[in-house]
Amino acid sequence: MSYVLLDYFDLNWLYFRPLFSVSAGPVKETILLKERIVVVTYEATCAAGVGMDAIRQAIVQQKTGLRKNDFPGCDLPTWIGRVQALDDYQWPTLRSQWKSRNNALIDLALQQGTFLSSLDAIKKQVGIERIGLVMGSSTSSIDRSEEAYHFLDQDEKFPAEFLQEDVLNPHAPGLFVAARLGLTGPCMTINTACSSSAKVFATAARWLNAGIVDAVLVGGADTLCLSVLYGFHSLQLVSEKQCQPFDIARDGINLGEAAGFAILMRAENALTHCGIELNGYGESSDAHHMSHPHPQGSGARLAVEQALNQSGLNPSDIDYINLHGTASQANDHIEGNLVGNIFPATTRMSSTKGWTGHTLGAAGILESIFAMDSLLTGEIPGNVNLKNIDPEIDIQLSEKNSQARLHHVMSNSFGFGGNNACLIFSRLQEAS
Amino acid sequence: MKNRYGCNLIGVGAWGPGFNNSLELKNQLNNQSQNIDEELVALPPKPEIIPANERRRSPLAVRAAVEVSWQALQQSGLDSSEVACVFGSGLGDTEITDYMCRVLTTSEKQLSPTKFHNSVHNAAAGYWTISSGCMKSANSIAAYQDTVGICLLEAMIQSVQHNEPVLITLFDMAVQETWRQIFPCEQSFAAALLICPESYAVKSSLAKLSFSAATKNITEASALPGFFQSLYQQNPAAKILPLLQALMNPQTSCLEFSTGASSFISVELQAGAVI
Repeated sequence: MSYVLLDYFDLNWLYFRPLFSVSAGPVKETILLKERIVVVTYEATCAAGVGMDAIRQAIVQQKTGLRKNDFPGCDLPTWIGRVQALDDYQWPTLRSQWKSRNNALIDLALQQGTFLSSLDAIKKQVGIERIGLVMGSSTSSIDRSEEAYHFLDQDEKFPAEFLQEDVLNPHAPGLFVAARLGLTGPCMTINTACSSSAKVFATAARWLNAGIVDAVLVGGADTLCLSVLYGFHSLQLVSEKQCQPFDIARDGINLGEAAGFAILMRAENALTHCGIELNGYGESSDAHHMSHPHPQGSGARLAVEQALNQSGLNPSDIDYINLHGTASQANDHIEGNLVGNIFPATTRMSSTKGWTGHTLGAAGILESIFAMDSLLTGEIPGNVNLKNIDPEIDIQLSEKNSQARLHHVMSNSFGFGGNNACLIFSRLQEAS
Repeated sequence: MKNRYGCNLIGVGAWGPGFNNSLELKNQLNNQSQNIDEELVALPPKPEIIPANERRRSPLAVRAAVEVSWQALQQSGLDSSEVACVFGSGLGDTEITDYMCRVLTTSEKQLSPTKFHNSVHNAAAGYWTISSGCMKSANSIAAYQDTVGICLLEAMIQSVQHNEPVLITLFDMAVQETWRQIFPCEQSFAAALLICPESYAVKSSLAKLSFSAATKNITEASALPGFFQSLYQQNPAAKILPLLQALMNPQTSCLEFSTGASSFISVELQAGAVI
């Protein structure tokens, strides 16, 4: 048996220890965002809805996007957050060399709302070479590799249609978006598992601060594929029920798929914006284990403290936190007690994974968008599927949505390898 | 970019065919320029910093990346706890991709949990931070043929803005047989650079680096000697070789690395600058 599984069994000791006295130590440096970084616009597509209008409706109605697993080629008894509209996606002949489920989801998400027309205006304003592109993903287009292996011939050769150099490498999301949108500036894909598309905001802020570009298109995309379904199953992390973040009955995650995008600019040269700014970011490592979070959440704490420090805000200033809240035993226990310890009861919190499933490398930006949207609409997502909060988690959560005018919101993302990111977004006129 | 930004290079690590550290790479670069025709092979890296049990389970890409990171850190004399890291690989781990895709064509589809968690692109960054006890930010970047340019850009900007040392680790392994019809990379290569901002107090510097972003490339890359030219062409991480070669040059060198379809990072390197 692998040491990963042993670790999960060893975890039992954890539940009998208080976590609250643990401190990760002082934050040594304060990283200042010299430039005010505004969010021009954002869009997302996930199981809960194709485009922001549909997502907003699903949030208000508390309508989950989770369904019993019906992913082709997978008979695991679980629930998934599948984007059904992808079934109808047709690849234009001229772009068929980009074919993969992940790229199809990217293309579908890009076409929602007014996102592309906003981007066109910025292209005209600053030029295609002055727009940076930072994507986040954990699977890139591994779905296409999985498919290709069903067509390997006797000589171990892939058929010609699978010889897709730009799709079958881990930078596929960056390469596809750059080609699809005609962007020629610096282009990268961050692959830090489930924190990938949270970290894209940190990189975008640095690039804008340095002045190497005038706008950054940030994004995240991950699609359902057998690698992640059977991979998380091998780690005994997949639930047979709808996932129940922070519930005493939680027993694992549901996998989901999503793509999300945002455009960031320095306030000084943004002609329009949506009224939100990126106010702080924190990035850290657990230095603990490849697939298990630090038992005291020390790395996560560092990321949260760094983001607060950078924004100049106190914990009590944060009105809402979109938690990582995967519904795994370990994450929810550790994250819940950490934020319960740092933030006062007035800070509302929830995991939105009951709507979407865990969208892995897309979770960072999808959940940042959920948090940003609550700033704009005043609708604060509840913790869908929460029936009885785990008494071992010292945190206050509500299953129901609430409504309030928010000023500062936070999003947490933690990934394999002990990779942590925390983001703070603020209503523009009220940033400190 | 309005200004040129500056930093110091204070540690280097290297591993690949015919060299196990940066000194051996330097010797090989010199040898090859004398047209010595020899078959070069990479010996298995054994990064002592990873505990033996974990090391056995870790993929070659992880061992190579952690080994060169450790070399660079030791040379710098810094403690890993003060060094953020940017890992970059253009191709990822094709051995694990092959393993997973093959298992997933079987009816059982039973994946090894260890292989699954090792399949993440940030496995090397994860093993590094775990083994070295580093709790700073760790990035893992893929930018295919632009991976080296993008990692240099990201790390240099981060180092200056956060006023902290940053480890840049670049690695791509020989591609698994089936995948060579798409990515013809036959040689493994890993290198690490440890940079720190000019304001950061260090005892000595291997080179001063200054960088700026550009939308047009100005200088042509000079050819590398012998065997290293093909390594440079087929292995995305080996695009760093001209910079490692420039460390041997007493003159100031100007290097350019692609970061996008029409964007570049221009790096000026002044070797042997002692503070």
